[in-house]
Amino acid sequence: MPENLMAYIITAQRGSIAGMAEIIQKMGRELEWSEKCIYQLNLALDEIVSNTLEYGYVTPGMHRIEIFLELDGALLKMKIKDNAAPFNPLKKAAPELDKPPLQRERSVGGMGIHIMKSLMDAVRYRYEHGQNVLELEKNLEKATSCITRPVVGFGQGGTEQGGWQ
Amino acid sequence: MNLEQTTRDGVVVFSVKGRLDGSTAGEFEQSVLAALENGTTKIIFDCNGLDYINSTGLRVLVMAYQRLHGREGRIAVCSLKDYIQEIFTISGYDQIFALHQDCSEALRRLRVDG
Repeated sequence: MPENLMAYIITAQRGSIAGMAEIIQKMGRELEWSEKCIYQLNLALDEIVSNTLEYGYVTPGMHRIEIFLELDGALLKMKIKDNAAPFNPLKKAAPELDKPPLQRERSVGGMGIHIMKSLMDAVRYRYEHGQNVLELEKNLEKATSCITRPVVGFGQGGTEQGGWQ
Repeated sequence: MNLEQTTRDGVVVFSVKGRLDGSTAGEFEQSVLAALENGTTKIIFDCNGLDYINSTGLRVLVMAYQRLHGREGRIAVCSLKDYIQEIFTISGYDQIFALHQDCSEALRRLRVDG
């Protein structure tokens, strides 16, 4: 039976991310997750939420970002819903890691999304009812050592899979 | 974030503690830019007390690298926690920064290598 761990709503600006990080850190320590795993989970959420706050809203003060954490066995599921402009991070061009920074034609802006995808085992995106819905999954059993690798299907676009309704 | 800046034998050492993220990167960037504008060509980022960094924080380090690259400067990062060093690997930044476990070694290298 999946266990709901957290529901967090951000309606203010950046400071709220630090509040969310504190809650996840406290919860993670109680559940005996490694500091590395706690960092990776917070970082993945931070990158997506920061990106939404930075680029997703034209009018300040009208935003609402909902974050849900659910534990299904060893599988941690995180869902981020926001009412920002439609944005599919799976379609964001990957950074040109094979080139030295000074030779990269694309900006470093895609780095946060690349980091987020690299830290997760699965990432799914859909846009429904006027909201971006991003689902992230991390297998904590495997992540006790938190071995990181790029997500399979990287950059191939989102799927329409459900499972969170 | 807590930031300390010291100069040792012409090398500017920034000791960064706590969280380097969207809410603190601006202050950090201003301090680094001020050092660069003063003509600094050798910088060490001492990350012994750094608990958290995101892509916004990393961007400040890359900015320093880009500025110093144009004037043949040197830059090193030392004493990263292992899980933060992994993010340098994921982002490819381990290829542009000299990463040292030991900050004394980083300082010695920057002094010796000119």
